[in-house]
Amino acid sequence: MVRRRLIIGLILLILLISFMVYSSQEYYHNDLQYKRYTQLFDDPGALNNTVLSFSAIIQSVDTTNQTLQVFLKTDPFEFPTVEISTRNLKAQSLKQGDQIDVIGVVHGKGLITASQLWLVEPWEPAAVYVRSLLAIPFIAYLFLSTWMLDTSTWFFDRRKKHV
Amino acid sequence: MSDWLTHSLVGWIAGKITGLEVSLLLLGSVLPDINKIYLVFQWVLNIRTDTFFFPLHTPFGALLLAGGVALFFRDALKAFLSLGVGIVFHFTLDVLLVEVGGGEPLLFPLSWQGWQLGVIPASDYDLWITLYVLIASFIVYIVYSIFAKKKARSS
Repeated sequence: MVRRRLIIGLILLILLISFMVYSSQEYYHNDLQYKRYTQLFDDPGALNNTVLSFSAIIQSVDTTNQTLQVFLKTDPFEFPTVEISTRNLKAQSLKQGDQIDVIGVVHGKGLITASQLWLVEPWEPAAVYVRSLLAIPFIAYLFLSTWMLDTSTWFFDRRKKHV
Repeated sequence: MSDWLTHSLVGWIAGKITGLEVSLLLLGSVLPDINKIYLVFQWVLNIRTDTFFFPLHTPFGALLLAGGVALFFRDALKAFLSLGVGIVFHFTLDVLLVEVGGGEPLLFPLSWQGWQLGVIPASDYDLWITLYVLIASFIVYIVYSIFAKKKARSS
């Protein structure tokens, strides 16, 4: 019984590690979003009139022409700047250094007409992590009040009050 | 990415409604986000491991991991079922979001295509979705308590 479980566990572990190694080797050759970002500068004609979404940092704001100069924020790579047209969008409050999420349509090299645009406040990613930390005691309490690990068999046994 | 609080509350609601093992469904609902361990490597050791841990945040990778976790329970199949349903709820919630990074790679390793429904705009999921789920959990808790009391009286 235990031997069978060990073999199954070993097979699952080998499969999982294989996929992880495959991903670490092939991710940037296959990730479609990263491919599109590269294509935006190398072969922009191929992306004409296609929808592209990305995170970006604003370099400059041109309120007269309603455009933004931004660079794509895709760690670990840096891409050249692109121009985003923000006509028909409320983008007056944006300023240099702001991080934005954009969904837009590509028009030629480095020009994107934004159809949707969101300002990402600096505290927002941190807020997600803080809320995630709040969940840990909740999950730990529910799990540990239901199960206890029997270290002699390495099985989780249901606590008596839950039987 | 939704936060763990939202994921775990959705898992808790799903556990109460489906009658599956709540503690394991809850664990399954946050299991795919174990890929965030790459942040520890990044912050502490300044090593990029995001592409290595990427498969853990795919249905197939998360189910493999759930299979491994389930082996530590006497009824491994039942444990795997609860963990698996939690994983399904995790990706259901993530797919609803607007993900500018390209969506969820639901078919990895067969395909690298990202999928998203874009139902919840990026500006909404920061706080509102957590509040909605918190209210829903409270309602489920009240309803569940009423039914439990009625059941206890009748027996």
